[in-house]
Amino acid sequence: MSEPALAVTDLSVRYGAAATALTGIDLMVPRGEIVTLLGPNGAGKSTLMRAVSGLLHVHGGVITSGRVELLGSDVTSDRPAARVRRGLAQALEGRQVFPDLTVAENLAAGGHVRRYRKAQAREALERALSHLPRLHDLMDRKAGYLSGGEQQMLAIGRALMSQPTVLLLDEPSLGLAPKIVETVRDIILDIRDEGTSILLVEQNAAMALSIAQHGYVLESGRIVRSGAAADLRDDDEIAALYLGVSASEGAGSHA
Amino acid sequence: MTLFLQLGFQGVALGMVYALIALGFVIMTKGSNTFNFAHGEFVAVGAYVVVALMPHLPYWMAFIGSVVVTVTLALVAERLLLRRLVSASPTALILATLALAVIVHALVLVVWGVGTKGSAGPVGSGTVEIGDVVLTYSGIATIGTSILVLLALLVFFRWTSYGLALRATASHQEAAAAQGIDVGRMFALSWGIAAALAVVASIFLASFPRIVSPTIGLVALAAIPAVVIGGLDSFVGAVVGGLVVGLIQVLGAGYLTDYGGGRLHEVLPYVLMLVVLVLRPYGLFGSRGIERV
Repeated sequence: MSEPALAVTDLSVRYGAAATALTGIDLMVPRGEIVTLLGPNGAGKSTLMRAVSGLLHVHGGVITSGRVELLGSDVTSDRPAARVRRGLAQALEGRQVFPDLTVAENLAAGGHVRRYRKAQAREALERALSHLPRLHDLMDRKAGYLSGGEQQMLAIGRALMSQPTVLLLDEPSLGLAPKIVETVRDIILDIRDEGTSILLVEQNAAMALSIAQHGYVLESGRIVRSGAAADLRDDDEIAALYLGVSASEGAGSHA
Repeated sequence: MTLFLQLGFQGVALGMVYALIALGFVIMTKGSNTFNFAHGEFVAVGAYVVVALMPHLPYWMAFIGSVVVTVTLALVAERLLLRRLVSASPTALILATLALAVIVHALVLVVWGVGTKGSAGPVGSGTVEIGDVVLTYSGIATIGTSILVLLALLVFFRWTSYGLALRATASHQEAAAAQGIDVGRMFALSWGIAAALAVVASIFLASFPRIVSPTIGLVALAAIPAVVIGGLDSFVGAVVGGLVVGLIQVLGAGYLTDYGGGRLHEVLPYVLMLVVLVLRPYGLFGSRGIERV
């Protein structure tokens, strides 16, 4: 059996001298699958994403123990640029597009790490836009003037420009209208179908569990539940906590 | 009218020098999130190294040598100071660059002494007359070279991969890092470009008149009003601000000699800077996110 696309083993993280943010995290993203990470605000979801992408230091965090492996290679000490070159890309929470740059420039910046020649850059752009046709007509617009949904598509497109093997998506549905959430959901599935492995952090557990194969639940910096997404979806406690369904309703609906 | 045109030419030439220095401030501020008060001293180092190498090398080689020395100094300062203070408060960063300015200034005094030194300038001392207006070779060279440098910067920032990466870093550091852009390298790149601009500015600043003195670093700081007037994060603003300051200084020197002991023109850019800070803190072309240093 081939190694997973992403494996996190016994990972602990702290901010500053005392505040432990993550403790003993074990998580795996098999190749070509969507794995979702659920949990309340402050559970440590974004911290885990930063530990995987190498951006922890930006927020003053450090890995105190454990390992992050990308396609079987230990990348725990690698800089963010080295991880992107190895095939990891991230769309940050809150979109975080480059507001002063045009859509075309945002996308080009996403491919910077690959040092593309012109033809390669065009190919990567076409591939990214094939998932995000809406961006076609917005190429010359400053990213800061896009709607929330368009910015989210741009953030995903920018991450795709480095042609990643593993894509980290941090709260892609945050603040979006339900109809746009549906569009984003379809885009994620489309990207998965092309073979990209995805780690999806979501507050919108219903959406996340509807497209993921596996799920993990993070609370207070620890993994408290994990399993097949379908099992988590059918779990009364998960339903009550994250799907907005009361335990009795949940029990009734599965009876 | 002739006096106005004459002063206008000189003002544009001086303004272009300020524009180059102001662009250095803006590139460093955008690229590394640091307003470097030592930038004026980089201008001084640039001027002195050219003067030191001139007796031994052709002028253009002395210029290249100065670019190498000044850029190296900037990169060392960025690496040893800025990179270690990346998470520090803006106040700590500003104080650190002020300390750096004092150290570099002291270094200049130790190496080259407190006296003035003669400077040849990149071109001869001839003139061209258009009607009654006299255009100096050095003025023409200053304006022409500055325009070429500005065009080169435009090409770099708009059409090269590193220029785009630098703009992306300036726009959002964490997002740039998430795309695999080496943010540390972009910090160094921004300081290197600013230092190279400082050397270009220094050779023309040393042409008005043809001497180099330790106060050249302070003269270069007259670009700070240019940065504030144009907008701390705007390349266009730096150029416009530089031209405004250059014109105000030269026109003020020409028309206001009977006021303020003949030194009123030195104060005018700072008065305009304060007016802009009060009425439009982000400058004429800056974005509202950036207001005060």
